[in-house]
Amino acid sequence: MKDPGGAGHEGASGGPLPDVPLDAAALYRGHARFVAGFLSRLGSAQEDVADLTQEVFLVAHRRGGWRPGPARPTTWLAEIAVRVASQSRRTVRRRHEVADDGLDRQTSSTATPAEAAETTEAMERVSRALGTLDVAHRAVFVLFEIEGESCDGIAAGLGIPVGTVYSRLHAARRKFTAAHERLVAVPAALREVG
Amino acid sequence: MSGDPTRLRDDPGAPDALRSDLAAVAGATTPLDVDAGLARLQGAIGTLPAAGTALGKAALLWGGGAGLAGVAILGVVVGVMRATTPEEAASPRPRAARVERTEAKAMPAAPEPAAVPEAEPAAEPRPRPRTTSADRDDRIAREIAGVADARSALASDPARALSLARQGDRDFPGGILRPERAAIAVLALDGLGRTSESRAAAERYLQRWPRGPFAERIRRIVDSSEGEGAVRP
Repeated sequence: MKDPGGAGHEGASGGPLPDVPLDAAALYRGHARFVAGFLSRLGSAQEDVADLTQEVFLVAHRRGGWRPGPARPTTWLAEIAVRVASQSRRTVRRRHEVADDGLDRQTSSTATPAEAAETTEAMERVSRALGTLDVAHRAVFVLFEIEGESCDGIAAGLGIPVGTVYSRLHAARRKFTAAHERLVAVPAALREVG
Repeated sequence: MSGDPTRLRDDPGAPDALRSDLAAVAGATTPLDVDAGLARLQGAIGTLPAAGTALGKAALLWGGGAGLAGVAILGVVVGVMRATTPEEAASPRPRAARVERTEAKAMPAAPEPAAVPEAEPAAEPRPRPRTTSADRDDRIAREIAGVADARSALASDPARALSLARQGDRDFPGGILRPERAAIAVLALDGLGRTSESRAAAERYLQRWPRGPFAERIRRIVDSSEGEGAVRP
């Protein structure tokens, strides 16, 4: 889906960087699905993703939209999404509400039931392994490993030094990989969920 | 970037299960009704200026208990206020000073996977209106126009704003801007001095949309009325 400003979500850092400012509507057209997916991968409950996505783009509007600079629209929006998701998580905990892993209900284009089941299990494992990371590390891990952003792009978007991106990614990988390994070893338990 | 490490899903040295799981997630999409969301966003933005001054003026007007003009502006911007974190809304400090930029400022930790078998009931996503016919755009446009009219009326004629909001609920029972109309109704009742009704409407709003786009501001109205016996601070 392309927006008028040419900022159709590429899903990776290799796409062209828009050379014109993008308002909230153009950003939404181009990147709403990216933001929704990113929020899910940050751990937001699926039932909240649409509302949180709205919040992200309202903040984007309040900030005056995206302007050409070192940060890509995706990583610029990701920084807002991290803040919105973090606040949402704090609010949810305060109200003693039960959060679920939004990643579980993402969908794929998998065709057969068997493949769909495998994909669901994969998502459950990734979701739970991501759950071992705090939001700051999870954001870097998701942007790099799943969304395909570059470390420079992540640094520019989140407003942190690229060295911090590397260190967070390194730590996140170590923790994620260990958790995933444990989860692979207990597939039966996963099948009881959901 | 060439200096970046190889992504795990592309790294032959990573476990096969890890690579395949990450690839599966990377290829997945999150359900989202983009058209409805865009319409809702545009409705929420309305005629709001992109940033800064109008928002600040609205916040000042509200905080000072100014008249209906403040209420009207707030009606437009309240969604944006809700969209920020409470720290942003409440604190006069510059935004940049609050952006998470260091490792030392820890984010909330997530549960360890040791609790893998935890069986949380999977709540179904809230149903969202879905139409595919050509009149959908027109319907959304009419719904947005109705909300815009109601917002405009808040300043000069809260009774009309209330009437328009309620008419919108009747005309668009499954509409995407129900939270916006409900918030306008709360503000209109407040503007009319019908404080008990305003509070009741606010409480209904919070029951229905506890994390809706205006929930934080509506919650303040309820809290304020609890503390001072009046809806308006």
